Amino acid sequence: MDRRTFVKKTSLITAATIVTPYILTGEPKIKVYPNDTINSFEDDSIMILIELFGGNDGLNTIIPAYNDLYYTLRPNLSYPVEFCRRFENSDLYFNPNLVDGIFNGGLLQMFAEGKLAIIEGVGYENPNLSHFRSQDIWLSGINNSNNSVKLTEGWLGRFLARKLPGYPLEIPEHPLAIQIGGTLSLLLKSDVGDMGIALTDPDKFYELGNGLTPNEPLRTGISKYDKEYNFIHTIAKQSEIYSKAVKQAYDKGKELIKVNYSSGLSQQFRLISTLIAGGLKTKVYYVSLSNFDSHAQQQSGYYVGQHPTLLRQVANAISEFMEDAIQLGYAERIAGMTISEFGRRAYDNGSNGTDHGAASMQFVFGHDNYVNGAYYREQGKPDLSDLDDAGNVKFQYDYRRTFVDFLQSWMGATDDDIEAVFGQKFMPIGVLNPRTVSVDDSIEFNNNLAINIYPNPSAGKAVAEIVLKRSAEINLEIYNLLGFKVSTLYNGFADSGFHRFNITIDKSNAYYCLLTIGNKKYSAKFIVNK
Amino acid sequence: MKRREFLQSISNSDDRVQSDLTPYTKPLSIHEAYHLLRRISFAPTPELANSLVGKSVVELFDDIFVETQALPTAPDKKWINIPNEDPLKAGNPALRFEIEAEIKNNYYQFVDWWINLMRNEIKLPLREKLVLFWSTVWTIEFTYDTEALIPPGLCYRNNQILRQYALGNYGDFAEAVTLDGAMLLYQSLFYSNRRIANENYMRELMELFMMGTGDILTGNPNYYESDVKEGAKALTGWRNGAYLNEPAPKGYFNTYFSPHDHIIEAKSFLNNIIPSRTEDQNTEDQVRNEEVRKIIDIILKERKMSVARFISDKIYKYFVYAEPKSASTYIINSLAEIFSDSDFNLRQLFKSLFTSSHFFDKENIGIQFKTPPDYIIGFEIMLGVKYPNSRKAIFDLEQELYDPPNVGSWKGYRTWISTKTFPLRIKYANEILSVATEQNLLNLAKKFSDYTNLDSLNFNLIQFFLPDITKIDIERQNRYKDILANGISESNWSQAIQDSDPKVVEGIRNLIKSFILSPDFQLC
Repeated sequence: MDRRTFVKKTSLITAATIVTPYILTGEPKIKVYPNDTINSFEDDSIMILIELFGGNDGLNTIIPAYNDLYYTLRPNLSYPVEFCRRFENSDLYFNPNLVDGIFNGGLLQMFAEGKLAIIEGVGYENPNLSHFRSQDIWLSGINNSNNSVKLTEGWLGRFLARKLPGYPLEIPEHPLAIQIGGTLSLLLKSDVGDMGIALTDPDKFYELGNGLTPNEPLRTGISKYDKEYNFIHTIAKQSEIYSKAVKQAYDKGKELIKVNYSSGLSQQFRLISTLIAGGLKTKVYYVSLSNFDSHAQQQSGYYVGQHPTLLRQVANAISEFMEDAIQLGYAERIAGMTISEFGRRAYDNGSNGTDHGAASMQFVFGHDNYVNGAYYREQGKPDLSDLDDAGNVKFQYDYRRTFVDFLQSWMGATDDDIEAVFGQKFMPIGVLNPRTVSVDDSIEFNNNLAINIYPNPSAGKAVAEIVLKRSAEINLEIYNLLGFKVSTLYNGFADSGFHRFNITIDKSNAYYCLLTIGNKKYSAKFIVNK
Repeated sequence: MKRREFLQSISNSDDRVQSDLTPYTKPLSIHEAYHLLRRISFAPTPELANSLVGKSVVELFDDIFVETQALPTAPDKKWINIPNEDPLKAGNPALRFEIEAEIKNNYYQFVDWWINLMRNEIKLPLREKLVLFWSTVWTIEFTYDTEALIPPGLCYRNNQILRQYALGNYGDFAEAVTLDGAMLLYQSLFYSNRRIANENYMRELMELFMMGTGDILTGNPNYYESDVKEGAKALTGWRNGAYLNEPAPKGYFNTYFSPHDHIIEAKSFLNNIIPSRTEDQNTEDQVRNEEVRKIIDIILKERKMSVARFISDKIYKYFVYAEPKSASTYIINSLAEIFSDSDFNLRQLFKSLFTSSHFFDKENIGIQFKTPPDYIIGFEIMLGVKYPNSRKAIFDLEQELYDPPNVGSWKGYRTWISTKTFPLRIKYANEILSVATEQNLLNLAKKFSDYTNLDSLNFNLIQFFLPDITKIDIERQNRYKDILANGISESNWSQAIQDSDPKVVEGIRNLIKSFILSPDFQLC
């Protein structure tokens, strides 16, 4: 979106909020306005974050079972290749607990259907091995290990605060973000207040929510007392307003959901699905699963123990949620990712556990029209023969790149937003395709597609077409689903207008074509059947 | 936004110091006495606050925290001295669940015992608020991974250590907790053996319990990965007889040394060498003094100011103001100087803070979030009632005592209040209020002088229940007065309250109900 459009849209919203606010009894100041008048939140995309707290063991999640070094480093904690679940005839092996006995065939099946992406080697420079600092680095979106710098805002909190310039005097009808739990994470905190709400039980929330709005107005001073008083005042108001909105959606949604969810993390997804099905306009749902910090007793068998139990919870929750989303017809609206503050040490620690590590892997899931389900990695990674000084896997992708995918493609963030949120620009991974066209794209979309590939499927010969709105440096590449680059179609300057590139592929498989222009990525999937 | 501006925007420490650590020698007003008691105990009673009025906090300090105070007696329960079987080694799931149910039950008994100690702190000397604070520093998780539970007998012993060292020497404190059975289990130290030194505890000792990954002022790193690995070797070899029918050479729940599990080679830690030892020198006393204590002493020596600042910062945030950015660097540094100069004497540190003009600075009154125990137990104390569901209430408000969300403790500050916990806070406060009988409420009112004067009682009740009367303007006071009066005229008030008129009691109850809904009721 260019600046003029942005300004125009913003003024429209202001107009809308002035015309339509309704006034709560006893609280003359607060204005409540519809969520879909928020700039760039007109569409109904929803983002899901799953935090795996404690440091998920990436090497025992997506397992380098093709690599003897893995077995050398982990005499006590490795999965023999016959226990790993392999994607076709590839070097992509899943932990069996993500697959065996998991709903709908688990994450292997989701990958095969193009609904799951795996990003290998996610982390950051100068890894911090403290759970808490590293968690703050992940959640704030600021890679700063200096203890004297306090990280007090989440990257999403900062982004959402930009969407609510009138907060807390003006708040949206429905919460922008919901964290399933009792206390709100740093992720959703901002210097102007909490950008999301904490929720566990909609019925109880509703039952307790009535009459909570304080009789006394917000304070106008700037003392510490005034700041804290107003923070609590706003939480009190939100409790009252949102307890009704949430309950309404919950009651409607609980009649609709289709899947019989498992226990554990899945129950949190049952709640999320219920609220989405019930029409809540919340943009972000956040869940957290703890106990990934397995210094000892990480597992007591291939299917038994702490880590296997946790992985099964994750796999069941994602698989069940995805199925529910498909049956309920909202699958195209959702995209989710896992985050974890670090992976674990490449070698095991002899206490049947692993110590704190650095880079790890990340799952991204959603509808196959919008998620580019593939295995993202640099050639030869993870490289177990090239560990850092502490014995940890090195990172390939800065963790903020996936965040940029979500902010740009899923939340309508502009370049300015990205810079304001992270303090600098980051290139997205290219794992998500946007559902709506943004004005600042340098590409002309055709039926919502940035790149047109036909015939598709083909017998190995196809063409890729793009239309550039303005001349630009472009890079057009073909990757296979395992993350390996197959060819570069074009890399260089291109004039505005129509371009056609020939694709020749000699092996049957699914591929994707990735177009990079500036700090944007566009992609298209295609199939070759020889 | 430029990168530099951006970085500035995330680190703008507010350093407008208007007061410092100069001893506050003025006689305490009732407003200041309330403030003091809200911070160093769970809540004031009118009696205790009145007994402090007119005295100087500097003179009072030694009566408030008494050096020789005895430890409270243990609950009279079998689990204090005799452990359960290890449920993870039970032959079948049914037996395992049975043992676990008993352990959980014992854990609740332990927590209730502690809550009762907090609830009974309505006279000097005080101590339990410090114990609660230390339990948020030296964390123990009762449910410590997906499967295991810390034996309640060990939780109890850990709790007594916190009490014993609450105002002691920090090096002694660290040594005691390092070899404490609950910590050995929780932070995997009991897995360490001669082949493998588990890093878990060594890392948290430095990162969370003593100094942080880097100095909180300069940002300089305090240690490297090699220090974690080497330090962990010095801490190998300790075990605890925590389960029935398992080795307990020094008696159940007592930590003992297992020589063949200790790594005897030399260790290089923070640029100090701990020399190797022969098997003859590999004894409990020697290893304890020359390695365990040595590790702590090296940290205190090599990172003197980092430790002093780290602990001063924690204490400042817990007892003065928790907002991470506005903690005064100047005050924290001054506290750290005092702490390190006193060879890490906590009593000195607490005394400097609690008797300082900064502590009584008007800006610092009524700005701290009540923790769940402050909120629940404090309200019981203020009303003079005992609420039967305190444990459940405190846990529901997200502070499961001896079971924080992770080793990094509760995040505190604004995280105590969310759309989940705020409605529960209102619910529980109303329940506690409903425990108060008519007589309770009348008794409370009659503790204030001039209670027969409506204006006076109104003012005193506001001042007692809300944290900063000076922030409540006359209009708001008048709105409260209308609620309290409950239709009784000012001239009739005196007679009505002396006659215990039900309308008076109703008025007091309604007034407290409206305090509960007020945002500052959450502050202290």
